[in-house]
Amino acid sequence: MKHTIMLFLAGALFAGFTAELDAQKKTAPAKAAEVKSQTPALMKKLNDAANRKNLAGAKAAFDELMKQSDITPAQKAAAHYHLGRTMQAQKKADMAAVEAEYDKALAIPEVSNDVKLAIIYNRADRAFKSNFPGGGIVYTEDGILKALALNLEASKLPGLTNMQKINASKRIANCLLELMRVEEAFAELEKAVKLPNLTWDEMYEAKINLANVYRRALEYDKADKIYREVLDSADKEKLHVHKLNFLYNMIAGRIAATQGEAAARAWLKSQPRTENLVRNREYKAREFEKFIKEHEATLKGTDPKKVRDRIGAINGLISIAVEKGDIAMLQDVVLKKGASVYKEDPGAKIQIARRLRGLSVGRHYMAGNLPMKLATIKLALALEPGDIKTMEEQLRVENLMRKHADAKATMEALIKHEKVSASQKLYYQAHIAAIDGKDAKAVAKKIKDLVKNAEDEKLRTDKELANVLLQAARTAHSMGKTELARGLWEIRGEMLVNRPKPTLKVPFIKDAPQDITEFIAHPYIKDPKNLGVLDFKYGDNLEFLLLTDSAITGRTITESTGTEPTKFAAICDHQGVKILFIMPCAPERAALLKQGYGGFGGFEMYLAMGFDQPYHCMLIDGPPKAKVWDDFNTQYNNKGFRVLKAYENYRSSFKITDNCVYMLLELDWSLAMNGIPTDGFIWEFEPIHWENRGRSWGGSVSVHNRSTFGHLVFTNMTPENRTAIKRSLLPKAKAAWNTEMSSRTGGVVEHWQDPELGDVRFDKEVVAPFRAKYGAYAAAIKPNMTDEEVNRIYDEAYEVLINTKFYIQQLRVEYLDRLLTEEE
Amino acid sequence: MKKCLSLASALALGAFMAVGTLQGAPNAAKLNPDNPASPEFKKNAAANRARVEQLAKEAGVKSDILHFTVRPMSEIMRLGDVYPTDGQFNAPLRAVAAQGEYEPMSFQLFALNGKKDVTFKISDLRDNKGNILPAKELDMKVVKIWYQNGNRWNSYFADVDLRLVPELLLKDENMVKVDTDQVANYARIRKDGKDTFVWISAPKALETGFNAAQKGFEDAAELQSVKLDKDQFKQFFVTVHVPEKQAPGIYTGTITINADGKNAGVIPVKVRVLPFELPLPATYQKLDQPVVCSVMGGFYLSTFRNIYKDEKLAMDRYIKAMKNAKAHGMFHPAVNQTAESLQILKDLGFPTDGPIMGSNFMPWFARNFGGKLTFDNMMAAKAAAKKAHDFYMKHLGHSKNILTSYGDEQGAAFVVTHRNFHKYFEEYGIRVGCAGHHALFYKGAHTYGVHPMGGAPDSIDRIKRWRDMGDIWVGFYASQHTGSENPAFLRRQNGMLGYLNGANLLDNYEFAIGPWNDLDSVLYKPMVVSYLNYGGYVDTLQWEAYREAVDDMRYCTLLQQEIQKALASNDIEYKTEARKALRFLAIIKPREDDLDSIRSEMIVYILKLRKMANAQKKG
Repeated sequence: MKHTIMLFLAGALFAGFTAELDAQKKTAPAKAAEVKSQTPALMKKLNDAANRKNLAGAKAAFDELMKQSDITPAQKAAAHYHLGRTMQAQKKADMAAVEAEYDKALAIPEVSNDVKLAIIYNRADRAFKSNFPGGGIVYTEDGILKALALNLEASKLPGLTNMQKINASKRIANCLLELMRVEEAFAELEKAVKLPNLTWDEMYEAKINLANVYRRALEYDKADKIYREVLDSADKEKLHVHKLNFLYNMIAGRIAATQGEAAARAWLKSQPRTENLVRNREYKAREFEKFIKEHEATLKGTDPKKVRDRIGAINGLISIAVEKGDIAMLQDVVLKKGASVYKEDPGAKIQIARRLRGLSVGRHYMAGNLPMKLATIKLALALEPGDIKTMEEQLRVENLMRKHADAKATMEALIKHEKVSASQKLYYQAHIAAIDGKDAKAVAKKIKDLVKNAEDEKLRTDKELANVLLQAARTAHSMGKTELARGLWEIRGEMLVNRPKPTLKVPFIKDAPQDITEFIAHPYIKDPKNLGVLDFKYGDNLEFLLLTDSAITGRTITESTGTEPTKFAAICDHQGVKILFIMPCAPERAALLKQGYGGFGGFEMYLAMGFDQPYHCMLIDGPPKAKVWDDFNTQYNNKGFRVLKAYENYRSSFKITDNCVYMLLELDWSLAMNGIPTDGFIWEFEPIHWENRGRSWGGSVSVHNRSTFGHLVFTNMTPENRTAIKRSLLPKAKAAWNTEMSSRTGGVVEHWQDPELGDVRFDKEVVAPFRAKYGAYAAAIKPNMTDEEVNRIYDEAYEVLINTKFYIQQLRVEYLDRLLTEEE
Repeated sequence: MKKCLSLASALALGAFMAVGTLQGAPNAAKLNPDNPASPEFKKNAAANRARVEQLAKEAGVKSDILHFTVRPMSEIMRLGDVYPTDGQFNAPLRAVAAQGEYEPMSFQLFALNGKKDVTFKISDLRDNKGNILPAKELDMKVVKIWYQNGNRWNSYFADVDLRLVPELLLKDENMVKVDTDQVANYARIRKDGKDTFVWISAPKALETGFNAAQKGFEDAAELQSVKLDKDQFKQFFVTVHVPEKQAPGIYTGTITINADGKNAGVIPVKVRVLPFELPLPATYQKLDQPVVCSVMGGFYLSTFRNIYKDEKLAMDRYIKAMKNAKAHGMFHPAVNQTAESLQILKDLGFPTDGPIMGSNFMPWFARNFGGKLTFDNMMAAKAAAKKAHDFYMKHLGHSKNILTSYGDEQGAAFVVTHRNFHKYFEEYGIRVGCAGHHALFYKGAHTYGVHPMGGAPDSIDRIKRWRDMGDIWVGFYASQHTGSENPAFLRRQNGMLGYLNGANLLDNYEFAIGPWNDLDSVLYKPMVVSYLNYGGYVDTLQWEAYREAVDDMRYCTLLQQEIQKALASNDIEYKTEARKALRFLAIIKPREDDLDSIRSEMIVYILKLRKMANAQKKG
């Protein structure tokens, strides 16, 4: 559509320009005889500059034009128009100035219709286009409506030619189509068809416009009827080939769609001047035999003047061979059939080589046919040996095809190539070492020597060595040399920072701080060794890990904003685990946050309460939002797991001071369904703080990176302290039991007794003993239990009581399984 | 400059070049507690031995191979040192199944002494009327524990290291070799009687692709001898398939264990065949709307052709895969939209009367970020709708509820730009959908017919508002995608959790065809539900979970049908029983209630209601 509009505009401009020259001839014939007028030349200069978007040239021509005494008002108007469109064509055009020029043109009463139309259409097209932005939500049709109004205005100009009226109709119809007023569009174009005194060309234009719109609106039969009418009225022998082929293709396309390809071809063959169209259809239908014969016949020719035809025949046969995927045919064409042509014309060899290279190198359509791709590459190299890009492509394909011996030979050739870079040479040598080698240490030594002696001293780095070892290991792995691959991988691994798992002690503290304020004041966080540091840049980062780099510069955090890293301390008490995050913050930012403005990086945290445990995912927005997300579940509630529920079994809170943001995360012990930790027990934990592009404690390469979680190690979990935890958990177990005993809450222990809704037999056989046993434990849970009582009840009954519902459901499943498979 | 040189080398070296990656850190997993050589594992194994010996003593069992029947769909990650807390020692294997249903059973063996050669013989099962449920209907496999990334049991995300997890269901446990010293999986390639082993768990940076479809890499047709390690548990799956015509009743039989040439015990098997077949699942509380059971990927014939290269082989494996899909409850697989593929669906008895996962044949307008469609775009959509209609009329005889998608995870601007063309498809009954988030509802709910919602199946509010739009299919994906190996979790998410919340579409992402290397991706793990190899797909715990999820919905559908029958009767007792069943469904907490318990309860209600219905008929 855009293309159509541009063609119209160009047509109008061209028409405008010729009209100006005509006007010049008419208005100043006498003067021309005396002193040759500069005006026509300047008009042409201005027009040319405008077409080339040359503003300086256009301005100069315009200024000169305005000085001409013989310039007519119409020419002045045209000059303003051309200057305006040149200004419009500039990047970041000053549209107000452009419009001013257009207004100046239109303000001249003698302005020609061509210029008027050009300006109106220019404005219409801009309005139209504004309704079709590259993105965003578009609710209105204002631009199209404006364009429609302008096009209508244009159509009503007095003195328009038929062709101008036809064009205006087309523009109006186009706007109506975009407004989905399709019937009105048809009517508008039918009006143009019915204009009086149309020449054949004008009739052609009007009818084709109508037919094209019928076709676009899927009214194929109506369109077809018009195409046929136009064709029938044309002098088929003389009609311009483009117009004729257009009509033929439209009609044949419709026949093919409704009656099949054979009918379309039969019809075409019944028409004059259709040989090429029929051939195109035959080729498209992959009917290659005819073309092969023709090309072969051409190749048999000996006329020296027709060598270009024979080169063309070779190219044609190559295309067919590739289309057919026939490697043998390709080789025959290039090497045998082409041989005599190469003798005739030495340039042909290079030409064909480049054609072959063009077919293969980087062409995606050949990606699925590697043997054909390799064949074209090899043939290209046979005709024009030594092209490094083609050799590199050959290597790539050989590698993809696991042709290791061939790849080695190609690399050996590349190493000797004069254009090979030192880097490439190094990598090729390393790959060859991996292909030839067996023992990892020996291959690694060879590679180290290669790097040490690399031609380019910039390559003599540990980073380059690590990368080369990696590539060699990949080659070994791809060959199935597992031990070599693993060995090289491990040798490379030794170059990396031996980064011990980050660990942090979680001591039990009897009088632990209860909120952020108390935590900040607590001596525990004053000792830096009690703090974990989120100093690991989130993501993959080889340089960060290289031992040599680290040894020289330490653990550099790239792209640091200069602020101190986030740190955290973790402790526990009888209620749960408390983790305080300390996030230094610039005073200005802290002040804004306090007022509820700005934003602070949120947290993404993972916590698994043991190596074999599912992990929890916690997303906590930074202040001022501080929203907690806990809806990514790795399991749902079951006997061994409880989902996080904000403000029920965990919570977070923030405090913003003048230069720091604190976040306290509190986790209830009831989440630890695998038991209360003993001394040395490990929870896996990874906090990622999305500040400074993400910093983590464990070293996450990506999110949910379980193996890189750090370790929280519990300490001071003395029997006395563990009893304190048990004491805090038992009331929760009792509450769980009571819920399941309640008739009000649909408790599962109570339910089965109900003769109407439950199952009295099941209750008597299975639930009643359970109820008696664990009801007694629940009843024994009281505020003033001795430590001994706490330990006994916890050890004997906590896990069942807290899971009462799940135990009863399991008992029910087993009971029904038994019942249904024992009793009919 | 160095970067430029490296890039040039990368281009030249093609697939063999990898950028430097962090995955070079020394492998610490060797010391993980899941390694049998670790102190933690040994400690657990010793404790388990003591516990099992005590049970054997109490039960008077003399064998040194002891068995526990366990829940096949369990949250318990059954590694060698994990005690089966849900297990029943020395108990019979039991299953309750409808006619035509596949139902899993599972048991674990614990070896007091290591055994190199353990084989099993399954007997025919018989009822008291002399009917036989043949042994061939009991498909027994060993649950293979192998290395997957550290998120193994818990999520679909990528990771840089490996941990052990039970996942594959194999006839030949040696199809994959697991080396706990090297922390590695190897594929066994058997050619001309010789075995070679290919490392299939290399770090991503080393991975150059493993052709799992190569000849010689496949599972056995029959269960092979297995090895039992001393003081370790090993899990087995026995999936019973009840033929459609099987007489209802209680069938009993045995699985006899033979270890190193000696009889090592017998496991009784009891299967209750229920007197009904299961219907296809229908939407909860809207029984006239089928639930769509599909998944993104996995079942394209074109993919099989690309993988196997050989046409005959590809077609054989594809037909096997499709039968496998149907047997797993995937009634609406997304297949190539060709006459050939649709014919295969029909031939294999997939439901093709709609809904069906189809295509809208729409051209892509590349307006991901909005803008305005042109008249020609709209007409292209109209033509595509006609083309789709004609295609489905020709090959299926209808175009009603052909479920199609256009775009993926699109924003508000995309929806506003494109929503107007949906009407052309709606005119033919073809539904356009898009996976994604809130914007699709706010800006397009009135025009969409299908919506995989990017969220969790427990997002009741998000599901509800889509269902409030009426005749629409809504499902979930991403929270989670496929990939977690935990069958209980998968069963819950794909089954009753979403179902009772109103979801009626399973179309999660994705049923990936490989790779076998769980480290071979960056952000997400390869979401392989079932692993393709030369022999076809091998089953997995999560694939079995999909079937159980669908079967839960089928049972619930049948129960609702029975309820509706009862509610339509004039018998107050019958009606009241139906209302009790309704009450039961209403109080289910699908996020946490025991799914086996829900299933059993549904069966009890179905049997009760059917019995009352029969009594009514007789009365």
